[in-house]
Amino acid sequence: MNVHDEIETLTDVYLAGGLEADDRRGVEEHAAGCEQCAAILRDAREFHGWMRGASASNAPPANLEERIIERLHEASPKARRFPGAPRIIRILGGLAAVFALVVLGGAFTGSTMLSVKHSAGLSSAPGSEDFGDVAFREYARKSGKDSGAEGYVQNQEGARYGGRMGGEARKNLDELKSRSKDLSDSRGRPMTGAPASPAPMEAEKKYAESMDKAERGEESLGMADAEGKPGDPGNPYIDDRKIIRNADLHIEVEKYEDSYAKVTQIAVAEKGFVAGANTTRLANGKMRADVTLRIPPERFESVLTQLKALGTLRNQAITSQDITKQYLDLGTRQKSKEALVERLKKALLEGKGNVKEIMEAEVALGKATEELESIKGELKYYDNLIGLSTITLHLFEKDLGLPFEYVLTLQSTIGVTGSDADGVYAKAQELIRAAGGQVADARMTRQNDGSSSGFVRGKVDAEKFPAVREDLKKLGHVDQDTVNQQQTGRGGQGPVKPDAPVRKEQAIVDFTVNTPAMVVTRRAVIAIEADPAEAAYQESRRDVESAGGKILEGSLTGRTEGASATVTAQVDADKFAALVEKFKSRGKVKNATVKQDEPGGGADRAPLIRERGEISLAIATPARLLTEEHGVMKTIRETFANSIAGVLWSVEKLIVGIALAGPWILLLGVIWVLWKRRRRARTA
Amino acid sequence: MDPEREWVLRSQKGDRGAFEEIVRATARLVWAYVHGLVKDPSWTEDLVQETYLKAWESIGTLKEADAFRGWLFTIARRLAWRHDEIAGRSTAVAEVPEKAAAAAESEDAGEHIRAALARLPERYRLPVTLHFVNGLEYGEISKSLGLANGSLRGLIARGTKKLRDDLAPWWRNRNERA
Repeated sequence: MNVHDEIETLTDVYLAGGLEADDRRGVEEHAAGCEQCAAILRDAREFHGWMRGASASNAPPANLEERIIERLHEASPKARRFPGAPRIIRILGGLAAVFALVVLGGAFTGSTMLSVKHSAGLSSAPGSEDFGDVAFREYARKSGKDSGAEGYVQNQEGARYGGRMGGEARKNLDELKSRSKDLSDSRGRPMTGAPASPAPMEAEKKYAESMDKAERGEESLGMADAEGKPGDPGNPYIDDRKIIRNADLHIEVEKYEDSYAKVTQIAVAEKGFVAGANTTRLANGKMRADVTLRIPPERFESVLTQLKALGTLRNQAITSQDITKQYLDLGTRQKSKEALVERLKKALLEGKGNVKEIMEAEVALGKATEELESIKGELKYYDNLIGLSTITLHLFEKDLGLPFEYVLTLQSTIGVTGSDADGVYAKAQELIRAAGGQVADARMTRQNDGSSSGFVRGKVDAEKFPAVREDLKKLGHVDQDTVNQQQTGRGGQGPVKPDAPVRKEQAIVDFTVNTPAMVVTRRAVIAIEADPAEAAYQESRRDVESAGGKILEGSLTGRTEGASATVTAQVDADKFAALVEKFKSRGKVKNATVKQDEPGGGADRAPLIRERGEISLAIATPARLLTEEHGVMKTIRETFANSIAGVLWSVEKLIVGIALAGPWILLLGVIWVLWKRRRRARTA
Repeated sequence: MDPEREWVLRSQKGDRGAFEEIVRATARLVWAYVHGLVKDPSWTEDLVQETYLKAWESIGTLKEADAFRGWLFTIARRLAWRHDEIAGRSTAVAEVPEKAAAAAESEDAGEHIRAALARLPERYRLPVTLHFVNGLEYGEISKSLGLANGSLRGLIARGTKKLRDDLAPWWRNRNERA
């Protein structure tokens, strides 16, 4: 194996940083003098660069571990319950606990809870919940993942920061440590052979140093301290944690202007400022405003106290958000990006490599710079948030909720009865429109019995209402006329001030017109004789139609002689008499009766009721041959007719008798003739 | 490996902090392992998380603390296989032809590299993945795999060579394509 082959074999390890210093130098020196090997090396370097670049999208996320741990957290917020015990023992333990519960629960009721708990605790000894809790607390305390603003972790803050750094910060230092190693000059990568290499030791030392710094309270990560001096015992918010504090206050004040002036004074006095104010004047003249204040965190509490003195505190919410982790992450990222930018700049200045490499370096530099700027911006944003707490103040003036005026509403219902529902219905709408009102609703319904009703809802100005009301009442006989007047307070709840203005709203008019069903008050029964009956029947039907009446029933029986017909018709009362006369003229009146019913209801209703008359006409054909006869002639004629009928009857019976006896006579005759011939022959 | 043994023992007693240390020490390794194993790499992180969940649940059943890594890898491998099986079953009919065609035409270098890595023999795959994909330093790879310098050197050298041979045609053409 010659040197070239050896170099080729070592190339990848060399590029992966796996060669010890001697070997590395060997490769570099050889490549410097050997074009062939230099080419191999260049090629391999390119491949490695390309591989790493192209695989970047496949790389695991930077916070892989954190995410796993988070997931563990979510999956089982408490520590494992029975660690270490084989499953069967765990099951037995659980059964024992259940059994103990049942037995004890059955034996004693009431005061057994304690003992139950105790026995359960015993049966699951090392993995009991208590133990799990302790373990979890230990875990939480170590990991420091919990936001400082919640739970007992916060309670322990004092103790935690008393002597040592929190887990959170330590974790970030760990990260910083590994990053700083990352960032060490690429050519000077630690070429470690064994796990116990000098590099980790160095990192360890760095770590210890930063720990020391942190303990001394110095800003180990080189970030601006916006929160005042560390270790100030008077302020609980000052340590190396980054906490954003916000408050939201709802305060009821006497007068907005005065309060706003005071708010401004407080803000200025406490080295803060009013960041924004949004004022609204409500319809009742009261003010409501949202004011945003930015206050240095150390003055937060004092400002809150002062603000609360402005008026009555209705609601308050104070929130805090711990962004230590994000902040430290950003810090480390900023550092690493800065280092990267430096390195790239240096590389570009040295101008090593081919055009492509330089181009790539420039692109990378641009990207890195951009990212660095974005990180800086984000840090600045956080600095701003941490540096100044935000208080949102909602001010509203007292009595905001009280009514400020009376509202007068008129609601009127008018009902009339008239014979012409359609006309009244249209007229009512016209009236409302003419008064400048609007018709909100209008419907008309008709029934089979001839009754109908119309409904119109109109809205008119309160001033015009009385006139409209009078006009509507003229449209018919007034059945109903009510006006409801209501005065209510508007703008809130509670009593209305007596001197509050009165506002009249549009009056609502519900107008109804009713037309009652028709009532038959006159009846006529007429019997006539007409020849031909059919013609009279048809004539009388035409009469009904021309009088505007309605034929209820009509029938005609027998088309020729002796035909009869009936017609029953209804007609308006005023046409009744005329129609009766007409019917009478259609033939020879045999019978006619007319009667008039007294209409129901009082006399005042009489003219409104729509009267009708009903006529029943019977038409008969007169007897044609003989007119009616009386006296002797009739008797004679009848007798004569009877005797003829008797003769005819006798003839009829005779013929029947002959027909009956004929054959027998004939038979007897034949027998007699035959007997005679025999006698003659005997004598002869 | 000694601290890891200590962590494992403490984890078995329910010490979550210790288990967390294990996660920090081994997560990237397991990630690389699963990444080279599973068909659809977008599932890698989920599977890794699942692996640790499972490990935490059942670390009590692990008898030999020294065998922890093998045991962890076994969990990961089983999960990955099972996932592939289930995913394969559900996508076999509709998606696979499209997906295969898309992959064949794909110009995505990352996908090509992953495929090449998956083709590597298993003992090379892990160190090479850790180096190229996870971007770990040589020392870190050596530490996390617990391999002596010499053996890792051989694995890296041979693994990278195989990978380069495998990818060479595609890689050489990359400029023309671009």
